[in-house]
Amino acid sequence: MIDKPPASYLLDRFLLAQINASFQIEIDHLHKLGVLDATSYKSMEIYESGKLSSNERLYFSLWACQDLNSVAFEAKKKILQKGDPITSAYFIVSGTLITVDGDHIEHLGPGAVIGLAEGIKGLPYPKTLISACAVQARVLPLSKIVHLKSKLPTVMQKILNNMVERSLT
Amino acid sequence: MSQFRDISFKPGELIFTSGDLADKVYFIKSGTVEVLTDLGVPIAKVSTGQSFGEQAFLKGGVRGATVKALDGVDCVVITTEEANALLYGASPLLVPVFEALLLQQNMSNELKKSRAAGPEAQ
Repeated sequence: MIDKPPASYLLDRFLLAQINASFQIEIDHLHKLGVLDATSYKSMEIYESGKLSSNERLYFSLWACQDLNSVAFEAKKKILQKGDPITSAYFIVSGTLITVDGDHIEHLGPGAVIGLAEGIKGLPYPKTLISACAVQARVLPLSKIVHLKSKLPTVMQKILNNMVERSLT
Repeated sequence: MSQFRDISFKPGELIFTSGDLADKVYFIKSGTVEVLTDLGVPIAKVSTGQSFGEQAFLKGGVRGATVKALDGVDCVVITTEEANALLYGASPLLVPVFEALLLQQNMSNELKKSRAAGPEAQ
């Protein structure tokens, strides 16, 4: 059996390597607009004002959501190994993660959604996921989501399946 | 699908335009629609059994693209209010699930663009 490389080794590789792709919501832009928290009247007013982009609005809505539990990851932790089954998906509130797939390295920041489409489809996680620094996230519990999906009207299930497929292609 | 309204579009008919309020999600029962950029450049086709306009799951958004019917198109249409009532009714957890899927879809598209632009663009 081949030993899997530790998270710190992969993180060092990340620091030395070129990033192949990245995604994050620009939190500084939200702060400049005055969105400093997810619950204040002022933040809600800005959310409703139309000044936020589509991704910023989705970020804010998920950040403010009371129906999702929170989780924190320490820096330099391997959160998912490539091929792991996915039991929970994550919405990243703050912090930075990297994904490693062979020589391909990606950088994911606030607003990234990890493993939701894969988990709904019953696929394993396709990359290795490591926290580059302390990360705060919201948890999307997959077994519950899959159970609830089966209770939706057929057309809503089909729309959800379409969204899953588009996320994976 | 009977709890939702059916709607039909003629060939060439505009279904929505970029910048319109995003207040309806569409599921195609038959036919094909074309998705166009602000400049009218075709970027995708969506056909029978597929959906479009899902950004309407998040209340108050605007359309980021224009969609027109390529041939005669029959759709099921679901308003933002109907979708949210249905999702909340089934479980409040389903609302953030649809929002997170929208965000994962956008993330996937941006990562693809980022990869295509190459490391210099990071």
